[in-house]
Amino acid sequence: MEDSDEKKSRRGAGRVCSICNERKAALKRPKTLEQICRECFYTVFEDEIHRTIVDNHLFKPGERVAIGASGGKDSTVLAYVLSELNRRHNYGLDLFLLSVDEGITGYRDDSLETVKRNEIQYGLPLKIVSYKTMYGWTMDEIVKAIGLKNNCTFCGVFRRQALDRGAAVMKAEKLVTGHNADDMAETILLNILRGDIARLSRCTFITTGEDGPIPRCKPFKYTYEKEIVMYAYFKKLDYFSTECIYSPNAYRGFAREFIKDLERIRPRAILDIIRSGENFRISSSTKMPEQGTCERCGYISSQKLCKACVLLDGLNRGLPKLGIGRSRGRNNAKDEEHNKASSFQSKPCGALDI
Amino acid sequence: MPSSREPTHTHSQKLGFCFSAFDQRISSASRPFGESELLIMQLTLEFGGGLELLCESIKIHEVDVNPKSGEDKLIMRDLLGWIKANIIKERPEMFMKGDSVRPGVLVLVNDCDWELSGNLDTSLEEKDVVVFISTLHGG
Repeated sequence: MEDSDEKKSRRGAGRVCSICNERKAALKRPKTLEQICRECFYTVFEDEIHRTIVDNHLFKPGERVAIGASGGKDSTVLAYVLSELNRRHNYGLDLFLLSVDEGITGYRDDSLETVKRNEIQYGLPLKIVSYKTMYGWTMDEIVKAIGLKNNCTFCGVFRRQALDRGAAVMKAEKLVTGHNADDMAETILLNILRGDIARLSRCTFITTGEDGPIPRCKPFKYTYEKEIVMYAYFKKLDYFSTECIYSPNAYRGFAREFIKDLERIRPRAILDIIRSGENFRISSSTKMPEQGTCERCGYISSQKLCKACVLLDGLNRGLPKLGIGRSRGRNNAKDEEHNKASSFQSKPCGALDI
Repeated sequence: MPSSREPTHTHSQKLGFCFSAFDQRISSASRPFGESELLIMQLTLEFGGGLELLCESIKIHEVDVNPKSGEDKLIMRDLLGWIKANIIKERPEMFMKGDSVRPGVLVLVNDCDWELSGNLDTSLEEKDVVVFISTLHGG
């Protein structure tokens, strides 16, 4: 033990926390390049999220808030920090965990075990909604029917609705997700790469869907993935980290890798991409899809039928290609312009479809 | 230091058994006589955030590493090469890119971000704990 103390002081000499000037620095903040100790890191990490919440008026006192929880690092840290801040700053929020069971054996069943432990560890009630009960299909069954192409489109569209519906059933007034700054930068790039102007204009909003039944917000919008993982590691938070067995993730994977490469050279790049995204102004002559509601299920949709209903139709009729790809066709022959702006096309893993 | 004919180091696994133990022992035991002065360094390597899947789902590896011949110290650059050769069993591209870890993999030496100690040039000492965590898996 004396041996390791000596070693630490030898190597750690000179690297003192730039905030408290006392303790040994434990990490370099990507945002500011400051070298800070563990304790000061906890403080600045939590305070920044608190500031984001307050400055952007993310919550109202007394609100019932669903935390979209996958068992992964982001949502686990979000659940932990949010319940902590709720206590510390008296937000007065009624928090609970909301998880989606996609029905992916060997992946989601394991990660749901993590969420169930989080339920006990953080003292937050948990509600699980499943694709099977909501749509009649598990992802395992969908993949069996359609193969490994486009399956992420189904999963993404279904998950988005499942979270909204689960939140509605549980009478939540708001839904928070763990999307972080890296995810945000990646989504901005992807929307540029796809020419998806409608999404590009709204993907940087910290709160979306305010006109809909359940607004969603992202308290980690400016929080670096590195700091989230460091926080989880130092605090020994229990999270699940296995890649989905069905996720090829090719296109998004390239964008992700590109962002990570940029971050290594200049960590601020992530915040700067977000800044750029926020300041895009979409020319007023660009046609944007009009939001309506799905004729069948009543979910928000810019088409006659919402995407989930079209996909489900295809599955149930044995035509799984229905609703996949740019040509969309059947739902709306006349509104070609709208289609271009709102096309889902083959978006790999919709988990990050902000 | 024991003679090089003997297996000079042990290789235990807390959470399971790793065959790299044998690979390593055999390779160093079969070295020619002259290199008996080899420095052996005991390290604890920990893989998390999904990286453990690249090494047979074993998270913690107690290993003995010998610095390159002629060197008297071990730096992270060498350790990464050693890990790639001895510990990583599949998809090495998920762990490394070029001569460093893949961007998005966090590295901590004794619970301290390696960006504070010189990244690849961080020098390692006996009984150091080196942690690798992927940030690239799941959300």
